[in-house]
Amino acid sequence: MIIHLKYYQKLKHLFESWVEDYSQKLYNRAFYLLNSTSDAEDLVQDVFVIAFEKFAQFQGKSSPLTWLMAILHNKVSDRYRLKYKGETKISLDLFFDENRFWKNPESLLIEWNSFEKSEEEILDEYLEHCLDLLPERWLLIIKLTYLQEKKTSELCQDMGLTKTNFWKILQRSRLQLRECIEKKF
Amino acid sequence: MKKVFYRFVHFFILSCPEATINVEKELLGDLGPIQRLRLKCHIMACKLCRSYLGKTLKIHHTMKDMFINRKQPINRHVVDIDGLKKGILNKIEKR
Repeated sequence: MIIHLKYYQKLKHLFESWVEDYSQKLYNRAFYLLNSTSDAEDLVQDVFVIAFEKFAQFQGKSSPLTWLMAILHNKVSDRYRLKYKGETKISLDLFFDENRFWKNPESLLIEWNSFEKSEEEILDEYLEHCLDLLPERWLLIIKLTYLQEKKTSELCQDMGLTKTNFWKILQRSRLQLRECIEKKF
Repeated sequence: MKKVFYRFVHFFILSCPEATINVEKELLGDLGPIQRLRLKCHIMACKLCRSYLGKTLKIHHTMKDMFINRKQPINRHVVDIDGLKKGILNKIEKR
């Protein structure tokens, strides 16, 4: 009983320092993914509670922040799965005609470096804005894909997506991003 | 004549929508060797998809930099971080 109490006290002290050191970073990531203050706060609280309960699973192979981030990403995937049940219909009609040829081929051939700004400046300036114009659901998939170095099959399983739909969402998003950036010129 | 050429390309190699989806798979390292070969052949034959690939690569690298290296934009708003910390510790206390 005494040993158990000592372990508990030690764990509590450790978590006090983790809460102090990592809350802001976790909150920033949670807000970035969910775009809601209250959801981000709830999520960060959940992450620490889960970490506290599952501390035995933390083997110290990665840093505490990496472990906490992984829990956070898993929780966001859970939320995604619950919020967006069912497949979404992805249409490519805006980009390809009925014969599967590119629509507006001329715009596709415009070189980005033929403008006053450099390609880097163009992307830095417009990409973030164009990302914000994507449907929330697609944007969350993109962020989770880039932020986690997971295999596609794992990502799809976490988010409850079929592989076909996952690829279609990435393809459709990228087509839209390219067009959005070019429209900004 | 051009359309006939592209029909030939679509039939024997890949259509442009198929090529663009395979570009995504290639970027995430999920494309098999045969599909990769078909994609390469398509890209060699189709200047539109070649141009698309070039732009997609630039977008991909910028996104990688944005999401992974720069992580995320710095806080756009202020949060009561001390209140949040207290809330977390209260929750842990109750466990």
